[in-house]
Amino acid sequence: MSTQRNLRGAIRKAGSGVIRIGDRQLSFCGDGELVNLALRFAPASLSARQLIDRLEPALPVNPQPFDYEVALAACAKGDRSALQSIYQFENRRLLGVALRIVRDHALAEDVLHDAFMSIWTKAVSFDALRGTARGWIHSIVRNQALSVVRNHGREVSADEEAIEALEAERATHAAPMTELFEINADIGRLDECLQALDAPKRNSILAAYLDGCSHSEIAAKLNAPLGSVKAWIKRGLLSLRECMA
Amino acid sequence: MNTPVSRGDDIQCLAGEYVLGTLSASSRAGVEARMANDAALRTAVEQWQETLAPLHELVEPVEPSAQLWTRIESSVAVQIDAAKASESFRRAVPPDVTPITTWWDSLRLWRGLAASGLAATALMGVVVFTQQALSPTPGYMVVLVGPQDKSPGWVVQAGTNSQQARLIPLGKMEVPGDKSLQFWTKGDDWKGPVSLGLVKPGQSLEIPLDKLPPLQPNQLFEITLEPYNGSPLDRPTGPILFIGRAVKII
Repeated sequence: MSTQRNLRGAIRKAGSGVIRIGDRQLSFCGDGELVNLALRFAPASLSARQLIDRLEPALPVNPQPFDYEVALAACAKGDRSALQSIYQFENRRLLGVALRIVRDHALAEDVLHDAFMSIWTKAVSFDALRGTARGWIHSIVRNQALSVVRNHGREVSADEEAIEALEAERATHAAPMTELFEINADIGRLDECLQALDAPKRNSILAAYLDGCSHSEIAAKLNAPLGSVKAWIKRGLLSLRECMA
Repeated sequence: MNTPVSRGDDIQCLAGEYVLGTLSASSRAGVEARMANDAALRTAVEQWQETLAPLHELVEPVEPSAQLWTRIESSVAVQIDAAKASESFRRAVPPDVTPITTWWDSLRLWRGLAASGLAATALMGVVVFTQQALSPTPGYMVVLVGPQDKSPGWVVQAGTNSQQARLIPLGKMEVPGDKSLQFWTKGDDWKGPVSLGLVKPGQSLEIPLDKLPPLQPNQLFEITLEPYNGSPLDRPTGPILFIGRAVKII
């Protein structure tokens, strides 16, 4: 199961290329669905790990990876084409990030518009010593999306304490929690550290980060008391911190 | 299993929840204000951003509409015009050498402002509101908007022959503790901008105008972010937060 996930991650990372199995070639193009196909083609003697070793990424058209830092520096100097290159490179991913949080396509495009204006005007303040340029760009989009949902509330305005009191009555020893999120890309060490958490903590953290859920939204989603969700997130964060250190 | 929570853990949790996004709007604003002066918190936030960023690889990419880039591009053009205008605002140019016309004449800027529609809507709303709230018939009105997002932040209102103008906030904003907001104006033919004093976020301000030439149409007003207690120079040194020009009201 986890090697299959790793294979999918490896395929995404490689972008496009071929997997050679005997005299057959299976072309892939960053598409995780091909994993099942690859496994079906593969002789039973080949493990997913061996398939990963056989991944042959196609030579990229542009052998230089996109340099976000150089692009931000050019934006800071007023080069509009640099902003456009960031947009071309990241727009689909960033719109995906915004859409998961605000859950409306038009609103997500507004978020991206405003975020790109911030990237343009704040590029001059980007400091490579404090983080990666790509991370900085992603944070701007996240913050813009979060401020939209937090300020103009999707938030149900219920009295949190009242909810907690009600929920405290509810039995907490329910069935083991199911996994709500599949980690289907190579996210490195973070994957291991997330796997080390128990399911409630992992679900809570992923629901917050990926779907922009508030504490009470997570409580509703996991059918768990608000107080537990708050504790899961706090303890989950501290465990992650320790594991990633 | 209750272990005592250290200050380090507190900061980690606060920063982590900020980056996760679970904080309320007011707590988010609080963290953002605190980060300006709290290096430990800022570093923790930056670390969490880097730590969690790989999760974005799990998000399915979504194709934006073809118009999105065009929208961004035209907003950038408007922003560049506004930035140029503020540069010329900063330069004290004698009126007989180079009249400052560049950005008043910028069709793009005003088209951009008009296209946003926001400023106009706010103006209408505010005219109604202020006419009810304030006794003298207004002679001039200025809507100060953010240079990028065009969202209205303040209005200035003055009677035709009044010796006073009134600056009215339309919302709340956070100003870092080591900064001040400063209010400026400049007429078309003036040599340079004149400070109208420091402004407190969210508070109205009465501004005496008796030392200044009479208000004129198109007179430029700006609120800039300056070092604590204001610009050390006789002109703005920090970024423009809000900008607008005087419109005569019948």
